[in-house]
Amino acid sequence: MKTDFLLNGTHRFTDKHPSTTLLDLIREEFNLHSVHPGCRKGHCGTCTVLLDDHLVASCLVPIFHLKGRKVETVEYLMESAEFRDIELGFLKAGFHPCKFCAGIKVLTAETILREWEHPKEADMALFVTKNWCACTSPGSFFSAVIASSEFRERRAHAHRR
Amino acid sequence: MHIADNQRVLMPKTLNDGLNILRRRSKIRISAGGTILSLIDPGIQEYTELLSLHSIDELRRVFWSERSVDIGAMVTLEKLLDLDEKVIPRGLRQAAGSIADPQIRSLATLGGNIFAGNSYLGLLGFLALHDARFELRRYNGTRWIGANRFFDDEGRPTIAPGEILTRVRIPLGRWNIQKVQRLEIGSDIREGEFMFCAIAGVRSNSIEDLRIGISVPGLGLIQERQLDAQVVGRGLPLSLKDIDYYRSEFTQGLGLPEKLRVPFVLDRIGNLAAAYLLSLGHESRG
Repeated sequence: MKTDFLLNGTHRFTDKHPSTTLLDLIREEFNLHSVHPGCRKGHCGTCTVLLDDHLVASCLVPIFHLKGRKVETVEYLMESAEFRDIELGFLKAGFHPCKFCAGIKVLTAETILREWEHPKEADMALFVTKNWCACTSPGSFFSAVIASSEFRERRAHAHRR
Repeated sequence: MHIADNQRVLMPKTLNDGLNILRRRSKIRISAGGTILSLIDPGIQEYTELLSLHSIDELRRVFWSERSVDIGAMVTLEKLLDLDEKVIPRGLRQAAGSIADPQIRSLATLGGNIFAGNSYLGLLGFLALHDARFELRRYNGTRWIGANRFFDDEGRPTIAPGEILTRVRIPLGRWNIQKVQRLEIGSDIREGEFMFCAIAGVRSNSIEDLRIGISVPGLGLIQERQLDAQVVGRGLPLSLKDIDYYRSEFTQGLGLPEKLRVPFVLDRIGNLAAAYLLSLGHESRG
């Protein structure tokens, strides 16, 4: 099945079997290895990517759902100015996730910041679920995202001036 | 795992096109969000023909009126959480927020969640408690069915070949105090899950109507309607004696499955019911 979509800012085209998952596609065809195959049932969160600005488990997305949609991985995010806000926010709040979940937490923070300019704890609490890695506490994550939002706002103001 | 050669995915853009495809190809498998279809056996790879509802915008609409809200079957759980509390019942938001992770909620749809309601703990219990109705459409007609009658006694959805669940209608305005809480015991997330659902209509400091139930996958909604009826009409706040009576009768009378009939779970359910009844007095004043 022919499918075209936007992967990390570049138009891509694939002709794989329609039920191939997004996880297999981006790992095998596009060699993006920040997305890990974990449980392949959507429970563990290691295969998380952004699909049209929403967090999704890429192991559950068949490629026929991709037509015309935008996929972003943490590799792409790391090249952007938005990542710098998150990095500074994490450092300011002393939030240091482990190497297994750092990518997911960066993507989660980015999703929250795209949805809310000034996120509240109640909004962010929806992103803390059973598969939250125990390396860091949800409370420190909330502080880190709030700090990131301040850096992002400051950068936006500086840009306007 | 068998992977079907030449798998064909049909992606209609309108509901009529989708219904016509279903009319002509009765054995085609329907895919909505794809989260359940990727997990069950046979998996999504094994079907030679799939009908994806993903591109049908009509199924993603939400219509709100003073008396009810109609939610399209392809509205994702994440979208339900984004909707204002004036638009959808607070309990529905609480239930949607308790399901899975954000990575799944952005893919899973309301319709898919309802169909999985017999094997996974989802929104069906709350919808049944709330007297929600489902619209089932086929190429030559439409019918409505109550949420509590959607699964038959053998646990199969009462949907005829060629039909699609298109929208869910939830009545509004009657139930002003709602509480939904997901609970689980043990390590197997599918075995020990259940959901406490409570809705009440409170006007002029008295209870107009009350429904408290426990939603269990495979068993549907378990209620004690006679006990609820005894509380209806009482003034608020309820006395501690009344609450204590309700609590003890509620946990004893519920026909819970054996695995949930353990003191810890019964205490937990009783406490939740008592806390909810106590909160009616506070919230009616607030």
